[in-house]
Amino acid sequence: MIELQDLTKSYRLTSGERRYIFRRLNFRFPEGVNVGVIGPNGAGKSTLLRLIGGIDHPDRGRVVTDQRISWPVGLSGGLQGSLTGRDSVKFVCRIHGASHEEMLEKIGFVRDFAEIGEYFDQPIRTYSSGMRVRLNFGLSWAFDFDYYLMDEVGAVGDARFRQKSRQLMEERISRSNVILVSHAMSEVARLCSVVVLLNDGQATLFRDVGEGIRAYEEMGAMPQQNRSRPRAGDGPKPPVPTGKRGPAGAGPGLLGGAPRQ
Amino acid sequence: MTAQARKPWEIQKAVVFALFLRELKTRFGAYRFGYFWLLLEPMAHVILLSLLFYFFRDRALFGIDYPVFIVTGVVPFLMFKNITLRVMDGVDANRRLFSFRQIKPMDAFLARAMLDAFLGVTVYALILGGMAWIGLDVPFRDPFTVVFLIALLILAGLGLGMIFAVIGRFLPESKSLIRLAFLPLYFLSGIFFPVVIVPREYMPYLLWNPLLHVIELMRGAVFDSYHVLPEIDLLFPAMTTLVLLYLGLAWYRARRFALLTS
Repeated sequence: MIELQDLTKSYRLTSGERRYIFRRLNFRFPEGVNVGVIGPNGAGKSTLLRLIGGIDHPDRGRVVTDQRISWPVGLSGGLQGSLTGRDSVKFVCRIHGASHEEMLEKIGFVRDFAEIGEYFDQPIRTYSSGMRVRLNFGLSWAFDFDYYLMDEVGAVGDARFRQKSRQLMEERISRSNVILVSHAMSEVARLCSVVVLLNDGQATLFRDVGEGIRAYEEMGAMPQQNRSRPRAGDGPKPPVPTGKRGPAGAGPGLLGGAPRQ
Repeated sequence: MTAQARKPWEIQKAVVFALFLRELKTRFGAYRFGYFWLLLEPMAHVILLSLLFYFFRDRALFGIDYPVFIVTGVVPFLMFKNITLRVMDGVDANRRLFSFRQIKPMDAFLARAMLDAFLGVTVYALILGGMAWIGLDVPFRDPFTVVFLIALLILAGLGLGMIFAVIGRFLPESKSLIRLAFLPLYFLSGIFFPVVIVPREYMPYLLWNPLLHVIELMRGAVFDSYHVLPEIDLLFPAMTTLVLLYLGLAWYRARRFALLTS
């Protein structure tokens, strides 16, 4: 069960006024299904993901859940440049309370998945961006969660790695569920069985994915000024310290620090 | 991963431990002689100040070996300074890690305070042990008081660091000012002189510095013959520490979500 109760979230603009992303939002995610979260830019999709993930906190209200929820998949959270890939896996294992045996198993899993050879024992700052992505995704899929949070599916790497990554994801999703934020409607249609359309601080549930996507596309055809509140395109994005804006797992922003080729 | 939910303190314990190891690795992994540098900074103070003192050797020092005298002041001071500044920067340095829901700024504060406390105590023991080994006089008259004073410094550094972390969140410029402020504090805390040599008329002002009390008491606890002035008081730095911890924790509690949004 994941439920948003009376959720209010705002950010302060540089001008000092507040911009509300959600105002007293109540919503209950349907259980046991993969959920696609769609909506126009700035509707609060990523913010919602961060609130569900416990990374960001609402001004008022709360997110109630009894599920184990992942960190955003593919995000380079704990991957600090000076640590090696192996140390990073250990770090994430430790904060998740893994036993020694589990830790060894995760290390093996990530090493095999990432296929970065001896770089696994080199500092992450020496990695290419592709290698970082491999490590990040390996790390995410190494852990079992009830819900995986994904900000874009992130088609990255060469064809073979993409294929492998996709297979693994589908295998994980068959046991668990995913909450996917995406602009790629084909991905949403392929992976998700319900759709939540975010717009203007409201969340609408569509049990029929096609219907939800159609509603979004009709809305997307409308220009910005059709919204009830003025919301200039230059309004600041909600602060996203990790800078995940592009397709997940693709840009150097996501990985933190410029990748060294 | 454990199937049942962990208790909050179990999560915090695991996270602080993980952060502690990570800080340790990142701090020293980068340099080949990382651990050596740890001793170098306090030793540089000791050697420079000892040379300086060599030219003013007529000052009364109650038959105490001057290098040992310096160490008893410099190392606790540096530990306090490191804890304060490290905790202050704890949020920025770990910002990316907060994408893991288990990790909160408080964990970073605790891990950093613990690491620098651990390093400071180790350096203190190593240098004083080394000095005793080469034949300098290190009596350690009252070890319990020494431990208590070090604990005070650790807690005060944690409290002050948290206060600065919150201030720094809203006034980033303040951080460089705070770093600079440790220089005058160094001169005002009796690191390289016994307080008795300070002229009487300046004494009341100097006594407003709680750190001076701690350093003086430290000398009194280490050396047999050190003369601690009656104005030096344990209660004052102890109360200051409690106030700092209270303010740090309360302010953190009130602003903990704001710390996370950049």
